[in-house]
Amino acid sequence: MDGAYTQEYAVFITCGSGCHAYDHVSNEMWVAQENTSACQGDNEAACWIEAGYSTYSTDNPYNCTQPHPKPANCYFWGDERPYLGYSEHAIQNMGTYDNWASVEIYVYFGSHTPNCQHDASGDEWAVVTTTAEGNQYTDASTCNPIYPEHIRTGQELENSGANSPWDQFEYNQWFGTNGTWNYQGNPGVFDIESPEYADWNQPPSSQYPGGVLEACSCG
Amino acid sequence: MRIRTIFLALIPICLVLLIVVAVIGWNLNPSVSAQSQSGPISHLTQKIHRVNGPSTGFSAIKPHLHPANSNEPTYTAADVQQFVMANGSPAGPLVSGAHMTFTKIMFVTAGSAALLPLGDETGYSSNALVCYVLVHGPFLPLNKHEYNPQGAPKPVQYTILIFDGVTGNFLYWGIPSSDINWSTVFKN
Repeated sequence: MDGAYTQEYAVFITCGSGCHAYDHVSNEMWVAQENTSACQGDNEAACWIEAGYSTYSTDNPYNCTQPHPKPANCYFWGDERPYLGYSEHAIQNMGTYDNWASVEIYVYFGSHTPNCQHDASGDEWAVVTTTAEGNQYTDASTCNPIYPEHIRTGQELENSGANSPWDQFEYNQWFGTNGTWNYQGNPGVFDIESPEYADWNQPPSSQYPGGVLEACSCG
Repeated sequence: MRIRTIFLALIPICLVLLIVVAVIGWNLNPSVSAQSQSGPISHLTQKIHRVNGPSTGFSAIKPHLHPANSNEPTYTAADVQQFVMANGSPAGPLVSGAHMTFTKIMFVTAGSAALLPLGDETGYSSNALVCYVLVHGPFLPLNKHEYNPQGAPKPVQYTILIFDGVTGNFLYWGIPSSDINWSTVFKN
């Protein structure tokens, strides 16, 4: 598998009254290689790329709002790369809600160069974020020779006090190593812990290609 | 397919940290319901405005120098130090009792930064000026997004911060792998 796509609804999410500098809620998608030890040095069981949007707390001076501090939902992307580590990029403040956005991650320089640690000659992955108002950013996860075999889509919550209404992820697709994009055709496997919750609003079918997934911190 | 990804841990600064997820996961070779050759099928209805280049970051360090060359730093290493000392590591708090120190503050081209660990994702043209900052903690990486957390986050030694060398904007941050041998990276 060489990439994934989801179309997610832009809803305002917040860490709630209990939120402090180190809390976040995010609606996002990962592509990940789990059958590797190349990121274990960073306490990660997988190497991956993620994209979506996340809360950044009011007192986080590195959030995407101008000026700081200010409550923020930011489009972002990040990666955990073999033998290199973790990077996190805030892209843009979410200025528009109640419309669809999308994230797309796919390999576009598939040399799968081994041992790419301190140069920029390794594999590159495109991370394309289209915001709810239609701004489209194309970023690159570079020097990232991963062979992902997992896609995860949904919500991550760090710490309590979060409040997220239902969000939807639809038209879920994966990019094959043969260069074709494909709608997800099976219902996948859920991984849920309260207060997080997720379910299919509409499972993948010919009527709902890729399905309509829902997730929230309301369980 | 996957084990649950919950943990509840008491960490040294007495915060109770909980990371939970609600995700759907697909393994390799999911079944196919349709195919397209040219890209994912988008059903977005808004008019798409392609932003040229990557995000140019968010205001951080205030420029105050006026170099003759437009591609030279408009602020100093001392300004960087002051900003980061005031705001801390984006990765998370210092481990109790630790003090942040600056291992490197380098004004380099994006092309040169790309040869340094985690310095290669600015998306800038190779001759653009960036500021590559390596700070030592250790830090508790509580702001890191984790794919499948299995326990309390372990302290990390370093954080990297990347700023635009001209505007002073903050571009991104990272936690370099513990596999990196810094004495080799900065051997010169």
